[in-house]
Amino acid sequence: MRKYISVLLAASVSLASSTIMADNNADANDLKDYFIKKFPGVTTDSLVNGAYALDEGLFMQWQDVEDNFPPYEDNLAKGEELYNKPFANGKTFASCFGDDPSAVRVKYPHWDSETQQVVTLEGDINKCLTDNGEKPFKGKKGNLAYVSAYLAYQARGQKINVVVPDDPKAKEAYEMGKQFFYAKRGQLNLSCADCHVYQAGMYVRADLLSPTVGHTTHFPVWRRKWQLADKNEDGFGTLQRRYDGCNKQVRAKPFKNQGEEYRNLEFFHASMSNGLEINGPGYRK
Amino acid sequence: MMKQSKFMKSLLVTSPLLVLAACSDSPQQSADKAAAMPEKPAVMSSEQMAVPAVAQAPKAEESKAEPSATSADKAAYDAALAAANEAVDKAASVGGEWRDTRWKKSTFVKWTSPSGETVKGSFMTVAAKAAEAGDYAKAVELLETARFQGEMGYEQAMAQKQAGPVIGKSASAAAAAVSGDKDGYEELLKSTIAAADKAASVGGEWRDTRWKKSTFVKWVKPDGSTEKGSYVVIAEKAAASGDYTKAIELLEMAKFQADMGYAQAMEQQNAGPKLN
Repeated sequence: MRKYISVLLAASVSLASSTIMADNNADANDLKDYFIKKFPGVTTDSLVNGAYALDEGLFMQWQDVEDNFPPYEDNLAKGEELYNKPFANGKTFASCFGDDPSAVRVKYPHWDSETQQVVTLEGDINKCLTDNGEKPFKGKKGNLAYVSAYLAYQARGQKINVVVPDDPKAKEAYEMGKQFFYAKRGQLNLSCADCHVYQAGMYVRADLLSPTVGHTTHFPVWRRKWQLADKNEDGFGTLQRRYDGCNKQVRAKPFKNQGEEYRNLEFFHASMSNGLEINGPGYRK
Repeated sequence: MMKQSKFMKSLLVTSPLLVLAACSDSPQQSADKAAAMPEKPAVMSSEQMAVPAVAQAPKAEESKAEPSATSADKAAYDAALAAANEAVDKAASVGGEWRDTRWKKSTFVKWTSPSGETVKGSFMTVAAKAAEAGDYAKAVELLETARFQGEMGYEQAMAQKQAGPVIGKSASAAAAAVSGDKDGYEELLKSTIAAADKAASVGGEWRDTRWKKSTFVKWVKPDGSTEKGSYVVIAEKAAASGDYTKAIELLEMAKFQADMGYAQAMEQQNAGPKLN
């Protein structure tokens, strides 16, 4: 038994050193290959549709909603309005993000060599506000999600391309995000990967677990669940709102919104969808 | 309240995970399982999802007895509070704090005070309320759970420090490197069968470990066809096809289940009604 444990420990060391060598595109390709084998007949590109890529019936119902009455339209329009609304100093978000709103979403998340940290779109939206003397948007929904959704909508069709630069700190941030993703946590002792890699395609009660690849392409999302829980029936939420919810579901204390843990997780998580088209915002159950 | 062993508490805490566990863990993760979980079914039933309130979650009616606090009770409470805070601080320091231990937004624990007021919150929040109401026994009980969760959260986070994918070339190579391929498989098969025999000897063998009628484990073969069976059955099929990496991965789970089945049966030797 002792020998067996030693062998396992040796394996863990070997595994740890091998992951440090890994790059994000190799990791993404490993996952894509894994899902393509796991779901015969499903193409990598279709994974942008999340769990709906795995079940034709669900896909048809979901597409019907997306095509005919996407419930997020009104708030998407609010996002556009907010994006173009002048701040008190007369400037707009364009002063931070440039004149072409369709060119914004695809740049995030990214490594900022100056601050030596991962920067997210939502983080920069709020930074733009504070840099211009405005109050930042609160939380993980509402105005923050609307503006983010507007920028995602503008970027539809462009491909996710998260770059982990050749900078030890950037690689460390990526590896921290990766470790977070694969680490079991909370009272239920579940990792993100347990549901969204190894058991993707299985049901948890009535919910089909979605594969990791393609997750971040459709955020922010409009969730029916969030809509029902909101007094204004607003179902929009950011990716980090979803992280918060997942962590709570496994009975782990959620981490700070836009804190280092979730930013690093987003860095890794978005990388796994490199090469896939942005199709946000998306409707989800 | 019946005193629970640490193992029993672990089982209760992790009981939802008797339902949930990944088929494919890295060797390091398999080692983690010494303190962790069994296997995940394809579909979780609502019964399985009805997670027990950590067993230690208070029952309202238990709390209605009039408390009679003494200075010793208060001292015990203070000590339990300090121990719980220390454990939770330690867990939080490594990002391992659980949701319902002391997070202010948790509403998981429900307690009815002697005056009839119902309080909801984390274990520690409700413990404080119970202490305020003079029910130090309840407060200490809740704080013991909080401390236990803090310790488990810390252990979990430490055990998961090297967590990583168990798919792709790097993971396969690492697994193959330690498995010794065929030799490793055969050695593990023997120890797995021995463990399953041991579990069976006390009536503790689980359904999907090696039972021939189990169809729980699904394996997609390289040619795209699928095989279903128990862990041991599919492991043998994978080995027969030359996929020792897969076979070893499945046997690790089978052995873990066998060990847990034995431990469970032993733990439950004196099981009986708990009607009060």
